[in-house]
Amino acid sequence: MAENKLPKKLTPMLRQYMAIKANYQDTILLFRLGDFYEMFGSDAEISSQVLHIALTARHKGSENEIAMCGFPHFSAEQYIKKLIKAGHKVAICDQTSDPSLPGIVERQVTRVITPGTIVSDTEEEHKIRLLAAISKNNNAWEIAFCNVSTGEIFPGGGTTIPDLIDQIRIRDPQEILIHHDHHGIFVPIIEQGHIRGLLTNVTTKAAAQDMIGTYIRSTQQSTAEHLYHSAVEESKKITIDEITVRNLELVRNNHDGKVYGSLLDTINATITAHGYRLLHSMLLHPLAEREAIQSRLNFVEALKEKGQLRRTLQANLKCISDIEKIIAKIVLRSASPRDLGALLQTFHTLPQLLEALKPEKSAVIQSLIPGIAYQGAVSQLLENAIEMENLPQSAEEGNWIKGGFDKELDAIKNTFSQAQDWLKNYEDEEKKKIGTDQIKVRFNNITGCFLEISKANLKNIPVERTLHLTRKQTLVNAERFASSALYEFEAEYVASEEKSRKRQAVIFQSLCADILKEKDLLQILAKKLAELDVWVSLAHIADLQHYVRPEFSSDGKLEIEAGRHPIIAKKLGNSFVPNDTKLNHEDEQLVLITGPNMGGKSTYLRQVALIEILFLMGSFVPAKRASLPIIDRLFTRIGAQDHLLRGMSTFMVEMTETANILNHATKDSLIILDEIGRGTSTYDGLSIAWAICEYLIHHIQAKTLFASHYHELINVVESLPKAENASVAIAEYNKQITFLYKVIPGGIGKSYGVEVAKRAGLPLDVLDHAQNILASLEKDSFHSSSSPAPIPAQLIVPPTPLSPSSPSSSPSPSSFVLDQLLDINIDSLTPLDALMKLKDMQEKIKTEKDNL
Amino acid sequence: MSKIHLLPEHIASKIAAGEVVERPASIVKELIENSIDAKASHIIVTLRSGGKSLIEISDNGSGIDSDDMPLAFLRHATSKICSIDDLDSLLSLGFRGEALASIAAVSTVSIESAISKDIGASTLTINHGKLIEQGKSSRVPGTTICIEHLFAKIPARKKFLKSDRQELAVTTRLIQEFSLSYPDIHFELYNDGKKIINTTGEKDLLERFYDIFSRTSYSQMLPLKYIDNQSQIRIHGVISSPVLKRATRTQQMICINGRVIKDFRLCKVIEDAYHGFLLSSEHPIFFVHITLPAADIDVNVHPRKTEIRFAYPDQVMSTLFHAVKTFLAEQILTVPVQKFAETPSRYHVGSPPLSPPEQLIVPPTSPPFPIPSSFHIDHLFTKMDIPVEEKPVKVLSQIKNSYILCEAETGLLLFDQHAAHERYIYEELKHSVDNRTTQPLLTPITIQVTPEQNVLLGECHQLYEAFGFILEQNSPSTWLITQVPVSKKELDYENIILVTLEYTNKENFKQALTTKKDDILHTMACKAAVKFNDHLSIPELQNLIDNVAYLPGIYTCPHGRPFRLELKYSDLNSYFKRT
Repeated sequence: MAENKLPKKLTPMLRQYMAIKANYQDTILLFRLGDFYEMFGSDAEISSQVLHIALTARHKGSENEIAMCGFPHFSAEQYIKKLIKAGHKVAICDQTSDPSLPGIVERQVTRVITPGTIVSDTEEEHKIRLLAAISKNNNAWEIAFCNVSTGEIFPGGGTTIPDLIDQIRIRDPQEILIHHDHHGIFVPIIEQGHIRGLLTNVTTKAAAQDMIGTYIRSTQQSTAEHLYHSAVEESKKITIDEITVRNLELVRNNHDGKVYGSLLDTINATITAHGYRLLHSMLLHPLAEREAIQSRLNFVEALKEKGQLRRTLQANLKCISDIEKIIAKIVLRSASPRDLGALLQTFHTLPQLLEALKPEKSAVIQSLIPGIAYQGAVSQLLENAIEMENLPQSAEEGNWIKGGFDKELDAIKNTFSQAQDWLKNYEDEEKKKIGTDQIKVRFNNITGCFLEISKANLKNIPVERTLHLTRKQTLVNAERFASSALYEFEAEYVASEEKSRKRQAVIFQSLCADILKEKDLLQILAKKLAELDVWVSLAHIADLQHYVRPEFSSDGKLEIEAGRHPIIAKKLGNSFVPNDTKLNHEDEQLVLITGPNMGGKSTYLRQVALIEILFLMGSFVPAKRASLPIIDRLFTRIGAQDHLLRGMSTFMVEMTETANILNHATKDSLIILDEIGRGTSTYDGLSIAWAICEYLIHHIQAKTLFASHYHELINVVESLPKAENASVAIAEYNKQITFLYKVIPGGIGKSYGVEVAKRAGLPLDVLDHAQNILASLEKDSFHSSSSPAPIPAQLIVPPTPLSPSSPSSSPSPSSFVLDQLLDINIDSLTPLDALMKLKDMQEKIKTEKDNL
Repeated sequence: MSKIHLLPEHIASKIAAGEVVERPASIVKELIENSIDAKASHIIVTLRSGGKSLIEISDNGSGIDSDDMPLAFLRHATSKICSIDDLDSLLSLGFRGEALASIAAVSTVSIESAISKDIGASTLTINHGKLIEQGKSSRVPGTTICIEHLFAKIPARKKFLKSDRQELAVTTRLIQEFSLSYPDIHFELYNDGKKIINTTGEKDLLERFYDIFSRTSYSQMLPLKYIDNQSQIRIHGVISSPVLKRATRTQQMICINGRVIKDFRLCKVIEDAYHGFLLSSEHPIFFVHITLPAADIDVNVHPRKTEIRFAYPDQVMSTLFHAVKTFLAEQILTVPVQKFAETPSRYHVGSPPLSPPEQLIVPPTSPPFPIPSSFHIDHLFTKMDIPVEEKPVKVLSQIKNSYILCEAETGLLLFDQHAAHERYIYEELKHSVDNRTTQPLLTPITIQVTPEQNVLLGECHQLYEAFGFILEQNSPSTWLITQVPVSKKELDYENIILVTLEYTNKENFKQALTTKKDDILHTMACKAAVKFNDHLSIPELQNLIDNVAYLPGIYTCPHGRPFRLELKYSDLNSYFKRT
């Protein structure tokens, strides 16, 4: 807080506030005053802007004036969410002692809500909220992630900072914890990398996973017992790096980062929140083992032909609540009777699911049954305890506990109904006592208990008869009285009400505790339901989108017949032209695809990658037939971007990504390259692309699809036995070109660049001029476009392993010397300098000659 | 001096078009038949404004060769028959060679088609009969036809089209029929970007039926299969079990050799087979495929091919009747007789007449009462003034599951259970409506509706508020009842709403709701009331009687039928000469 905002004299309340605030400097402190949460000082100014609520001041006009704004406690959740969304942390300071006692009421921070730890009721559709923690273990960095609303903690991979950043990019956590020692290292990286998560400093130095546990426990003041480490998966997984996740738009699209338009969005037909999370995770971690993939494919196949069964299951899955989240809320003490009701509803739905599955003859479907045949006691407990209608938000309110469940509560409630009778009796008695029928005895929340007589009638009543009454309230047409009997009644009633509220709260706590006892069982149930949901979803998509079951190939072959890009084909329907793909290690290890821009090369490349990923995650694939290999890694280099803010040009980005591939790919990898050598001059680019081509074929020997605009490469590929040419077909009709989007064997020498530019709307003058230039260039065969000139034989490098210290790995000294020469400023050179420089250059050239 | 001349081609086309192209649904029908003939397995229909501004049909069939394309739009040009004899062995749906020509004469048509042996597709655009563009593009083998500006040059006919909603309803119904006729084809239907139909993959007719129609019918639809080897007639389909009834014939479809037709005689034949299970005002639901040798039928009856002539009509009808009747008989024997629970359930179940109706024992000492000639029913009836029964009426027995015999203070009472109950419900509803009392439901009731019903509700749902119902649309095929008129007993609200929809499934529905309120209430009461042949227990009967016996001055059901007959003790005494 800025010093000049402090009021001169502090009231006891403000003193209390300041003391607490001192511990929460970087957090917005919500200070409970009566029914409101108030914020003061700079907190108030920030919140007023973020939440669009009025900024006022406390003790306005006096010396103690301090900025203030606030909101009522029952609408706290929505405001807190807004503050979190704006990237702030929020500390809730509640009243912890009885306000009716003398002196200032005690206050304490009961929890701190941060972007990584908030568990809200109405999350935007399927948003997965993660908390990450980075720590250093000896010399290796490590990172762990936690989804607080499900309790799952899992490690990210990698040991170096770039690995960590990669993980953060893929997972996109809302908050990242680091020890304040490392703060300095990460702040610049996070800023440059445009990472959205909030960086939080902690003081615990421990393994990343423990950091998470400690943080949650301290901010939420809870045992956080729902946290669990996700089970070590038995089957192997393949790694997909962040570049691929981004380039293939697996879980997020590339323009606004939302899920819409991604692969996840296209294959998502899940109904439950757990199903969605599981599908998301399956996409990011495709399997690498045949058995595991086979098992998943079996589930999908079993459900694909069963539309009616799926419809029934889906209708029932709608009634399944997010069990993991409810457990988290119970642990973090933010659960309500409505959550218990949702849980009970889930238990009611389980038998219907079972009933739908039981008559199925397939063994695969039958195997789903044990997982969801829940046998715990919680179901019966909740059945006995909860009244499903009108569940309140807060445990203390309402009548949500069934009669007969708790004797004490029943007794208290009984007194309520007796109260009504008592009032009636009292009314009758008073009628007799006072001697008139025109009396009403009523009870409401504001005035309490009273006896009402209209003024007109009052006149007719002799005063003695009303002596035992004391005037309580005067209305326009009537007088309201109290009496000692009524006072007693009121006190008892209020006391009963208080007792009832307290009792309900106690019962609620005990129900929660009982639920927690079975949390492991419930978490397993949640997982099984998630699986069921995912199989149904994958089968549904396979049915409606006409996907087929992929086969396992031998010898690493990859064959796709009439394959389609899952995302684009869904959108275009019958206008999308399917294509075949064939890759193997004998004669089609690398396929070079040439042809004009917009001809469909990139789409084709991506569809092969996406089909492979769908296969590895156990889903059916969009094709007529597919025989696919299990690979060890998928590499992609697609797209042309620069990262100016990161200090990288388009070419640099390309080279970095390619370097990553060449350094890590193996024979069992699948590599997708979409244009190498853009972003630099033609000859440079061509040379690099050429060399990479050969390296891939001879040394790495991975299956590769390479799209390029360099026609020269067509001849290179022709002469290499393991490589093939292909291109995207064009039709020329009436001086117009039509893209046929069909991949055909053989290379295309023409780029049709001018035609494509024409489609883009370049002015006709520019186009005409370009045509002319092109014609003359072609004549000069400076840049052959219709048929690539034959490549001189000696330029084709025979397959020799590159020596590690090859002269080509660093710029040659001779060119260095030339540069040096050119740099010399002769006018300002002394004779001695000149001689020294001459010696230097001579030496460099000598060493070079020696090395050759 | 010639007064007679040949009409130019484009005018002749327009005239012919009048027979075939009546509305968007007729275009969709012709084009889907073309797709089916092209052996497509996936047909996508996209509409805008119910088809009035755009119709697009895309399939993955065999496609049209680029050379053939312009010919396709000539009249009488077809790939489906070559000689007149081919009509006798017709296997395809289309044959007249008129559809495309007619459509092209009254709209702007673009067609894009690829055949599998070519790469690339050809495109063609025709505007009201004139070729305007040809080109190349790319797509999966198959054909896409896009029709816009329908009837742009015939404003009179354009005006004649109904609202978007109604045209959509007709087209939706059409596609439902197709999808039932061809369960192995994947059909999709979209209107203004919204999905209306997207069938799932099972090839089984029953499964396809559940996919298309409401789920409340699940397990109440039965798969029918019958083959008559002698006449080579094969029948298969789905028919409703007798527990499921409708008030109209809207959910009845007949399909001959893959072609959905309207044949009242055949529908009637099937209904006759249900005789005994249903009242005459109740109709079953069915979708029946009949396949017979192509030579035994003649489709060339009406340009829109909705009627068929049979070579041996009697044979077809009797085979059909026999098939359904024997099937139903088998089914009923295996369906357990449903007993009434203590409280009547929401769906009344008629007890199948094949098992003996359960009767309570009539006391052996009382022989059936012959009505002596000196007693005339009307005499008894009109001369009575019906007193308000202050004294209790005791139920003795239910007779024939239809009448209730009671002992009252002044004589024996016989009640028509249906009429009596109807009167009671009517009074309750009327009271509630007059006082505008409604009660919100704790959980809204979901009603499944057909597209036509959806249209009706869309236009008229506010009118139900006058009766105390509040309806809200939940999805294109379901509506929710959120408030109902106050009544002591829980009535079958869903059925009440559905029934009123079927009862007035006409243009004057709106009028009916506003001016004929009473009629509607009558119908509601009638349908919600206990029926003849409904077995009731003594407590239920007592409950019913307690409610109706004390209605002052009322002795008929809302339709005017009497529900109460009294045999006074004094009359009994004088008959037996005991006075």
